[in-house]
Amino acid sequence: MAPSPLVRFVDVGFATSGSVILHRVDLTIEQGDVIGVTGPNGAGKTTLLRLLATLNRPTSGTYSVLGMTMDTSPEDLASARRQIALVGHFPAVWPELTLRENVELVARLRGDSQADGPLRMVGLDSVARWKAANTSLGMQRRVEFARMLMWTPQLLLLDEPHAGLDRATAPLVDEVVKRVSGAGGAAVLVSHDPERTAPLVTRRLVVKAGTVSEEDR
Amino acid sequence: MKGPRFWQQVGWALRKDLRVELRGGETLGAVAPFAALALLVAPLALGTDTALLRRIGPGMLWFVVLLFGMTVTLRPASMETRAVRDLLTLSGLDPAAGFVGGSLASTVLLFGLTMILTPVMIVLYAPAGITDWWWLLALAAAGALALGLLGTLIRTLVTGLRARTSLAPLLAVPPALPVLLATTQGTESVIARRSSISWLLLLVAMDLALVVVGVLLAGRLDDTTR
Repeated sequence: MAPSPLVRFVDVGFATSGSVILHRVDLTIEQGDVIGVTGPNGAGKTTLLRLLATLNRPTSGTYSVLGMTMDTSPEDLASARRQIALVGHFPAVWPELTLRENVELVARLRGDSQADGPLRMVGLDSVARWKAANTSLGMQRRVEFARMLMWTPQLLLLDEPHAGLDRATAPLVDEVVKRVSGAGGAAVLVSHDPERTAPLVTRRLVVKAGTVSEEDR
Repeated sequence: MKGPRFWQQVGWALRKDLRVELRGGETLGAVAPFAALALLVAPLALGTDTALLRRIGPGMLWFVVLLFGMTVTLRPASMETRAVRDLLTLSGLDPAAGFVGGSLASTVLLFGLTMILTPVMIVLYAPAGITDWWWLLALAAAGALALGLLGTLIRTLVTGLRARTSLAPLLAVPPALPVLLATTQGTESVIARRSSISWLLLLVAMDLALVVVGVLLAGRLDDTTR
């Protein structure tokens, strides 16, 4: 029996404050998929990522993300969400906390407490005591990838994953994506630079004016 | 029933909020001096009518704690980004634990603010002094907890709204009026050396009600305010 898809969107739409952001999206994501998403600014790419992360609920259609549906109880929703990782356009860091504290807090929530290894792997061990407010955007992005190195999500969602990273750190993104897809998960990479993500992706989607279509490779 | 994991998460959320606030230095460095200055204004305006000052002292203290304390409690709503909220959700933070931890952090800060302002109020408004310090401490703790819970609840409610900075105080002040009344009357009783137990019990009842409402609503609010 074939494994059930990780994500299934049927006729999904999303509207907010009277404007339709996405409409009639049909999408299936299988284990091992690495999907590249492109499209102009304001087309709905980030909204698509947020729907996949279950951070926003579709306003129409039916969906299932890692077994979660509209009817999933809050407890099950919380446990399934722990299998999803999202690195958005803006780094998720607390400026007043140190880089180590920024990694440690998330590690503890995930039941881990070791931040040293991941910080070393992204080259931040020597500056781990710096406050995030005093670091560059690239360093803050590396904090996010340090968190990602502590576990393997089933669904990895990256918005402009290579933005702000130097040449030495950028391959980390590729490594994380390969690890997730190799472990039976899937990754979705939103990028304005499809050339950069081309070696990773197995499928490509184009989001344009709220519609999502698959592009032949 | 919440398990040990819930209380661990409460502890992490509390430590995180306190670290962020204390390293920013807003409460001690900016809010507390301004609040003390606000307490100074009324005696300057009213002159040396000590009977009048003694009568309005407790009200002035808690009015200033309410106004300035709300800026402390509501501040994280304007600081915490959507990316950070998303991260906490996807990392498995129970919204109720986040609410309790955030409320406790606000309570610690509000209690500290009250402890800074109370001696200022005594010197300026009630020079005869206070003998029942324990009652005053209990009232301050219960009052700070009520305002901390209420502020955190309102903060959760307005997070994600564009007008959150202006809307939050408007939403917070009306439900805070019973807290203001109970803390003021309780403090007045302490100064007048009367029993303030009924006011303290009223505050404790409000604390319990706010904890129940906050814990029950936290998950729903977290989901609907994205």
